[in-house]
Amino acid sequence: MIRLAPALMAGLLLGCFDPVHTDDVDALGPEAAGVPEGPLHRPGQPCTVCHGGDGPGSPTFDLAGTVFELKDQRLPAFGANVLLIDSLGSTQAVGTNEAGNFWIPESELLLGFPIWASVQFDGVTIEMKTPINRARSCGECHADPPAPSAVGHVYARNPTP
Amino acid sequence: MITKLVHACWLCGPILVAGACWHSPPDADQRTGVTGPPRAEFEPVSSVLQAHCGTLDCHGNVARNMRLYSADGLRLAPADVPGVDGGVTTFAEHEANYQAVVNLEPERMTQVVSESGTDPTRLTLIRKERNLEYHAGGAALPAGSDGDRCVTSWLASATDLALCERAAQIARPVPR
Repeated sequence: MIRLAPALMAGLLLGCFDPVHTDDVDALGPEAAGVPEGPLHRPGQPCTVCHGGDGPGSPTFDLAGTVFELKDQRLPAFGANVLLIDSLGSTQAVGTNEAGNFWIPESELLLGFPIWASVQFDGVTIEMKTPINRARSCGECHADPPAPSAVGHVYARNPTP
Repeated sequence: MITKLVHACWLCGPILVAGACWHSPPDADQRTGVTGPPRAEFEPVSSVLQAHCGTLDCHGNVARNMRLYSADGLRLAPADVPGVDGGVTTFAEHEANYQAVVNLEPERMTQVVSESGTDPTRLTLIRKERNLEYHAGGAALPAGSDGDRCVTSWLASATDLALCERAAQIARPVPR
């Protein structure tokens, strides 16, 4: 029995290892130079890959993302208001920080999926066309650059005509 | 007598085993066909599925077995992007959606269609959309809803176009 213990431990450790999650985390790459880990880091990335409960990020978020000012630039929309509403008409709002990042901490999301989102910034409101059915990070679908499976980042101002 | 029986078994055994193992090779030309509901009536149904099931975070995703393309979700053409104002779902995208839905369970689909859409819950498509079978997206088209009735009417080859048109529009909720 004692001889089996190391094999048993190795089996248990391997059982906890999720290679898909590890690959997803690795795909995000290293931190940007000069930006420490924290509320301002990694704008535009799918936050809940790391902050979704499986680590390595802490704290865990129920919902999170980044709002940029313009469609074709990556200037953060500091002070934007992200408005969320669910199919029962319940609402929740969250503001963006200096990096454009916003998040709702674990267990603080008051809404049920599907959720409709809009962004208010400088007196302008832009509504997301489709509901969010299950994604907990904007960046899951709003990745850059726009492609057949990616919408491009969330932006707060419509392009000037 | 017993000795004769034992000897007979020694002879019969290998013959029986060989018989059980022998089989003709599969016919290389044989194909499993599928008879789907009418393709000509599918586009309104496709619009319902796109709206309720085809967002990028659900079946508008290349990792899904039942992959749905749409103007506001996953695009088929490499140069197209989702969510462009005034964008439309292309003919090729509707066609790909039809193939995805019909070929999910070809034999059962053929059976349901040949029986005029009777007992559509034989299809995983219907069990999932109604959440009768575990579905991460919950009841995307609850039983008896306009969308559900649109899909089942199509399976019965009698598509209710008015229902489909209504179900394809998802109204943004109003704050309480």
